[in-house]
Amino acid sequence: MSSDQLTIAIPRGALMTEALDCLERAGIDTAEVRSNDRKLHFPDVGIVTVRPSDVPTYVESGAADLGITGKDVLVEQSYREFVELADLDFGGCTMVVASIAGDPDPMDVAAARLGVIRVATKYPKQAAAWFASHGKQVEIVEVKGSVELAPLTGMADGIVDLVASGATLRENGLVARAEISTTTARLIANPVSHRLKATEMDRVAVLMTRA
Amino acid sequence: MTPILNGSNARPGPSGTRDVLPDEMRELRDMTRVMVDLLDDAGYGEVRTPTLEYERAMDGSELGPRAAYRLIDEHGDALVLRSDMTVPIVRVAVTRYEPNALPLRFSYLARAWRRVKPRSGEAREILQLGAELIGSEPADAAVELLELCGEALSSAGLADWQIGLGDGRILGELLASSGVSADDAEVLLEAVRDQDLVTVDSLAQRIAIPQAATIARTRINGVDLEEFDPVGLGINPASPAWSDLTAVVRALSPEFRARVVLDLGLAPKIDYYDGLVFEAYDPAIGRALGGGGSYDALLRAFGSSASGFGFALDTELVHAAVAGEERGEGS
Repeated sequence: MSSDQLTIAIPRGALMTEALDCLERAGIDTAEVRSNDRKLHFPDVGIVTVRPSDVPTYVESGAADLGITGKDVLVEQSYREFVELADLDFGGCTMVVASIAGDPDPMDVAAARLGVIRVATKYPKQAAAWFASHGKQVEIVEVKGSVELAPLTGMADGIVDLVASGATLRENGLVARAEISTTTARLIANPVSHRLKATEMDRVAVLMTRA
Repeated sequence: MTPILNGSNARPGPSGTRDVLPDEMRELRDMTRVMVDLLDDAGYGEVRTPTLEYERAMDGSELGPRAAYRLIDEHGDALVLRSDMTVPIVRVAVTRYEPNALPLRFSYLARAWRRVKPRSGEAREILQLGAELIGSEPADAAVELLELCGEALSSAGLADWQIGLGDGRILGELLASSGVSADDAEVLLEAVRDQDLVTVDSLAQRIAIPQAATIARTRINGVDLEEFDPVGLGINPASPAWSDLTAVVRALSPEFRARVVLDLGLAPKIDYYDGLVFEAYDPAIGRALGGGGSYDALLRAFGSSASGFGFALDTELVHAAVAGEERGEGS
């Protein structure tokens, strides 16, 4: 890592292609990253590819100067230190409360009969905050993926998850009952790099956010 | 390495605390001894204060870092493990010295215990090295302590340290003079403290004061005031905050100034810093090694009208930065 080259953490998965498009706009060559799905570390162009939920970890530690990940991840990890630099305006999703389609809503049944709703989610903090603000007692069941499975197997009465089109919910017989928030991809910075590499960081950030 | 004792008999220490073993301890002690001597030689006599303070003295002003541990003594009084050394030193200054003894200079190498954000993995127990100057002319005190902090970092063996320097009042003054409602101003300043510049941008747009977002994002490496136009940013050059900041920057040596990042969005992490504020960085470590600033408000809370300025460094982070520089990180 040279003193003026920035290291940028890119999220693998749904946000990756558009994140790389952002870097292209800033003049960073992403051809090797796009053509090599297994490699994680590209020191020549200053790119590391990590899980979206690991982006704040790499940025907070200073292993990456900049990172791109969803606002949903940032809210969940608000205990970490990072500078939220820009809304990159892609990867738009909605965080919803969902349960098995039909009337009555299985979450209402659970609340009425058992007093507690079991909610499966990858976002325990946001899920707990939403239900608390709506006066409902919940038991959060934290899962790492395929959240839709939890109500189908009876492990949970409902889920809190991020949806783009809603197709996955429909295919699994679930329906959104409420919207919690909307989220887009954000550009975040390590607080020390943000000061010590201010000029280069501002230059790159402006180019990345110019649609 | 297999621990001598493993399995069900192992008892780790309380969360946020750790053991320091001889190899690390030797390095830490060598490093801190040089730093303590440097402060003492500069006229900052080392002091020791009790590990325990009355809760009403330590937390009463609600200006210092929140204490992590509290307990009750045999009289039923609430005590805390001190969360900071600045508050006890202010207590010492106002209770042990006559007003005509000012200015007072103190240094310390002491442990403090502070509340941390859940899951952040931060240490509750920290070993701080710091210096306090009470009752001196504010700009002189700032220059003296900034340069002393730099010398302390150099004496620890750091080559590449830098200082971020700002003043939380600048943004506050702009918002107050622009007729922004107190609620909007508080939300915006809170977003600046959280380093959430996306919220800062959208709020500044909504209240039609785009300069607020520009100020929050202004960082200038190796600050050159001659090339900087405060009026263009809506800063009143005659305001106390701006005149303090520029007086201090002009009085710093050119070598020191080359290491300064003027950071107009720098918000104090501790509530008693009420004016000029700074943080110490090293490119080898992703977080601030410590910081300081002026804390007249804390002295007022103890009934004194004197001004105060100080800094504190987290010695374990400084040590990690020294090790990081040796490994060539951040260069």
